[in-house]
Amino acid sequence: MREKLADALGYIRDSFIAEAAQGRKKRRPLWVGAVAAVLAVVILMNWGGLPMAVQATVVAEASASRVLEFKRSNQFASDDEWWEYYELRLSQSEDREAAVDEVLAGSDFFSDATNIFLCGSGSENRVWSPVNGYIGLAMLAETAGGSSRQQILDALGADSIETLHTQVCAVWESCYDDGNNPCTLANSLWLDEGLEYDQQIMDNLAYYHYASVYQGNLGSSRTDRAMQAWLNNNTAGMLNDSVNKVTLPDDTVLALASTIYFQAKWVDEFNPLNNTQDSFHAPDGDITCTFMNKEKIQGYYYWGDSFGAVKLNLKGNGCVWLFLPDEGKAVDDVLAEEQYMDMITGNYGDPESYSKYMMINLTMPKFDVGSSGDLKEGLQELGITDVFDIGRADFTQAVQSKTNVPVHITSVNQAVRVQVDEQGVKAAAYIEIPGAGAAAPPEEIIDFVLDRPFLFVIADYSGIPLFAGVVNEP
Amino acid sequence: MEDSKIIGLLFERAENAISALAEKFGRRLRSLALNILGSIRDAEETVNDTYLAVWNAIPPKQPDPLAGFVYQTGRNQALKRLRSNTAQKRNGTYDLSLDELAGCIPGPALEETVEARELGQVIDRFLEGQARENRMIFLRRYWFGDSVRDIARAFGMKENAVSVRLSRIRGQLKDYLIKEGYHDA
Repeated sequence: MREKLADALGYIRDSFIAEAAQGRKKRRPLWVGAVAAVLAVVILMNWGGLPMAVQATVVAEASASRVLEFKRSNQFASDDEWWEYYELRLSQSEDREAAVDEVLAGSDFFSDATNIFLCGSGSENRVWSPVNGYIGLAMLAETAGGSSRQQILDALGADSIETLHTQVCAVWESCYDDGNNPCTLANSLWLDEGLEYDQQIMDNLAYYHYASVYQGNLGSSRTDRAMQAWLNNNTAGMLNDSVNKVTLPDDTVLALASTIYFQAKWVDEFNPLNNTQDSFHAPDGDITCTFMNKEKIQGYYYWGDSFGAVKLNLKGNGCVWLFLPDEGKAVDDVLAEEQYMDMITGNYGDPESYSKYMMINLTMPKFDVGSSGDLKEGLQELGITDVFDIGRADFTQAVQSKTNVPVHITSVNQAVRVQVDEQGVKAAAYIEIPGAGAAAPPEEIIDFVLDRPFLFVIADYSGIPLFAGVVNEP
Repeated sequence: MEDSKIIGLLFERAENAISALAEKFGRRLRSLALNILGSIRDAEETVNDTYLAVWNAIPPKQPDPLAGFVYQTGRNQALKRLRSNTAQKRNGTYDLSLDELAGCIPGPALEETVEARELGQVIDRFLEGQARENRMIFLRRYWFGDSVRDIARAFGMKENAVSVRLSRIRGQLKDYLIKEGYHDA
C-alpha cells in the first residue's frame, strides 16, 4: 500500500503543493485585535538601616541572545556551509525544547504558584506572570546558598543549580522574541556600593539568566530614577504609574528586577462593528461593558471537571486560553484543580478525551486588568522561607558586607497589566479577509459567552504560561 | 524572482534560469529529497536532476503555479531514485509517514482494486474540502515528508498538537473514503 499511496499523492494538484510549500500565511494587513501585557518583579533585600552613598557602575552586562537566527541559504557562501548551520540550529532548538519540556512536565511550580497568587480574588481582578516569577526566582537561587538556595530549587523543580542554568536559559530563549510580536524579557541585579561580590556569580547571572548587574548608591533618588528608567524602558512605559512609585528604601543592599513585555495580534480578527454593550455578571453585581463577538469560529472546545475553555491563537507568540467555570462553579474551583494548567502545558494525556472540534460562537469582554502587590507570603506558602528570615538567609556566596550584617529579603513586589482589545481600530481601516479554507462545518455549535468571572492564560507556543489572570470586573 | 520571469528565462534558454530555480526552490527541494532519500549525496543529485528535468519540460510547458510543478518534479525524481536504490536501506522517516497514512485506508483489498491515480484524485477532492491550514499540515507531513517537529515549528504549534491534528485529518479522510465507496466489500 505504501508505494501505491506514494504514487497516489503525486496526483494532488500543483496549487495545493505550492500552497503547502509556502508555509503558514504571512501576517494579515491592517486591523486586528491585540494583546499587550507587561510585568515587573522587584525583589528587595536589606541588612537594616545602614547609610550609603555611591555612584552606579556596570558589574556585568547581560549576554546577548545565543539563539541562532533563521538564515536563508543564499546568505552562505556554499550549500555545505548553510547545511552545517541548519544542523547546528536544529540541534540547539531540540536541546532547548527538551529542557522546556522538562520544566513543564517535571515541576508543579506554574500551577501551584498560579493557584496561590490568583485564588481568593474576591471581586478584584488579579494578574500575575508565571514565567516571570520563575525567572526572578531562578536569579534569586543563583545569589543564594545553602538551604536558602535549596528551597528555591525545590520550588522550581530543579535538582541542582546546573540543571536550573540549563532550564532557565531554555525558558528565556523559548519565550524571548524581539520581532514584530515581541515578548521581551529583561533581568537585572542592583548592588549597593561598598558591597563586595563574587564576580563568578555575577557572570553566571549575565550568562545564564541574561541579567545585567549594576552597582550604585541604592536608596538615593538618583539610583531610584535609574531603576525606574530601566523598568520603564523594558516595559515600554505601560506600567508607568506603578514603576514611578518604585523607590528603594535606604537600607536596601540588593535589588533584583525582572520584566516582561509582550504584545501580539490575534490570528483571526474581531470585527469592531460586531461589538456589543451588555451585562457582565460581576461578583458585586452586573456591570455594563463592551463585548467582542465572533461567530462560527471553527476550532476546538475543551472541557475539564469544572470548566469549559477555548484557545485563541496569536501571531508569532502562542495563544490565549479562556477558561469559563461551569454554572455553579467559581474561578477558584478551576484554579484548585491542575487540569487547566496541564492542558496548557500539554501534560494532560490524550487531547481527544477532553476536546472536540466544533463551531464556536464566542463573546468576550474587552479588558484592561492590572494588579500589584507583594508576593512574599505566597512564596513562603511555596516553601521559600529562609531567604526572608534574617537569621537563616544565606547570600554569603554572592555578596559580603564589611559590617557582616546578614542580607535578607524584605519584599517581592510585582506589578502586572494585561490589555485585550482591538487596538487602534477604526471601522474605515478594517478589512475583513475571508478564510481561504472551506472545511465542512462541524455538526455541533456551542455559544461560549464570557459574561461572568473567568480565568485567562497567555502561553507561548511551547506551552510556557506567560501571564495568568482572573477577570472579575472587565 | 517572479515565476513568470523564471519561465521567461527558461523559454529563452538562459543559463541563469537554473540559478534562479535554485535560489527560489533549492532549499525546499533539497529538504524534500532528503526526507525521501535520507542521504545528503542522493538528495543533492536528485535536486540537480530536478533542475534538468524542469529545463527539459519548459518549454513547451508553462506551469502555473511553477512551484507546484517544480516540487512535483522533484518528488518524482526522488521516488525514482529511491526505487532504483533497491539495495539501499529504505529511509525510515518517509516510510513511517506513509505507514501512518496507510492506516486510514479503509481496507487492505483496496490496494488491488483502486488505481493510484483514482486514489490520488479522491484524496485531492478531500483536501479541497479541508481548511487551508489542515491541508498544508497534511501535505507537509505526507507529501513533503516533514517531521512533526519541523511542522510544529513552522506553524507555531506544539508537536503534540500537530500529531493530534494529523490524527484527526486522517480520521476524516478515512470517513470520506468510506462515504465515497472506497472500502472493502
